[in-house]
Amino acid sequence: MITGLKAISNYIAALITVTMIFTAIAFFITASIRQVQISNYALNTMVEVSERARENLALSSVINGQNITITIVNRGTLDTPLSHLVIVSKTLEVYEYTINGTTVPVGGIVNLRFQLPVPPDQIYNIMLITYRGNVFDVLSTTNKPLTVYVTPSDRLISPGEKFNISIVIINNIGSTLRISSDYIFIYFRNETANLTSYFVVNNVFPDETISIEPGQQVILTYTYEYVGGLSPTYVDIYILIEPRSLLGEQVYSSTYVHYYLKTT
Amino acid sequence: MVGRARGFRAQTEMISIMILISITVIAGYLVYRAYTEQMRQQQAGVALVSQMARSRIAERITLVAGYINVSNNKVILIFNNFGDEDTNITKIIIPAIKVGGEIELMVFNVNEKIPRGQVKTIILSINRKDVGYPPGISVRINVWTVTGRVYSYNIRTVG
Repeated sequence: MITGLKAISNYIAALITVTMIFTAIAFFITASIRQVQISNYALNTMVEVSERARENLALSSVINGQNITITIVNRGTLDTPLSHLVIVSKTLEVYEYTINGTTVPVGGIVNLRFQLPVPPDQIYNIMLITYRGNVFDVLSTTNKPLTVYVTPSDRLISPGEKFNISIVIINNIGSTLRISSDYIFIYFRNETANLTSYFVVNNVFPDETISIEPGQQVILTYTYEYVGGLSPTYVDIYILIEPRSLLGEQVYSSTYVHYYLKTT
Repeated sequence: MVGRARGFRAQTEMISIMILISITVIAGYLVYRAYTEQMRQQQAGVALVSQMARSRIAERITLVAGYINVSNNKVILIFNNFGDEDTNITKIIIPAIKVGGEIELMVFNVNEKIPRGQVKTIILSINRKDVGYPPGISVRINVWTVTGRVYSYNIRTVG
């Protein structure tokens, strides 16, 4: 019996030792799991950060009355989910719009339409924010889907006189665009009124639908006749262009030229 | 007589063994408690460090736009939290130019929460009369978050 009692102290010591060993192993395993979890999380975050750098959107906007249409072309190598649109007025009031759920696929085109919270001349800045955190300027973008140049054949126009308007359109997006005169709208204005009815289209060249590849350009020439009826005035020209992609997506772009010509 | 002596020795040995067992149990218990307490604290430390590391990795904010309206001395900062967790901005340091041309750092202690995936506008008022900004300059501000990270952004004066 005494021998058995002597062994009890050894059993207790062994039990405590085994418990301590298992506790140490459990601690080691727990710490390792935490480390692996953090490492995986850091790795995923690094992937997200690198994906953020790969976003490349080309933006253009058309303001029509109190509405703005923003054309977004994804020129990057990743689908780009959009997050918010922020509009800042000239009085620095901030208007936020949540656009979660809209994704621009690679090479795809998405149009966003918003009603402006303030008159267009009171807009200071419009920014588009993606889900990955990139911020794109909408109004001051230097990377538009289309580059448009407009040149007149004559600057001083008399009543009954014909003149040409040449529109050079360059395709900046990564896919083919189809352009025809049906997709181009030309308005003549001055500071006070719409003067479009004083100018009549006689001819358009070419008059069929043209496909232009990425980086290519097309020149459309409109022949107009000034019917007269205006006192001498400077005339501005506003051109709205809405070409289609091969998938039927619509690209909105516009250009406005002040003091384009003068009537005599 | 001899039998009584043997019985007495056996009792003595029994008592000493019982004392030994008691000492073993108590000492073992104390050692085990100290050990487990140390393990618990180490685990808590590792968990805290992991949480801090995770929070710092999860925190991703950007300044969408920032303006100093010199006409009413308001600072408008538009932040976007595109990280994995809500974040809190605790301090914003904005340099200003004092009368005489010296640059002074104005410290704004704020507690502004930016929820995950949200855009939030923070407006600060500069109440001091002895500081200002020349029109059109760019101002570099520093923004502290609750995780201790510091972000630097350029903002511009307007008005």
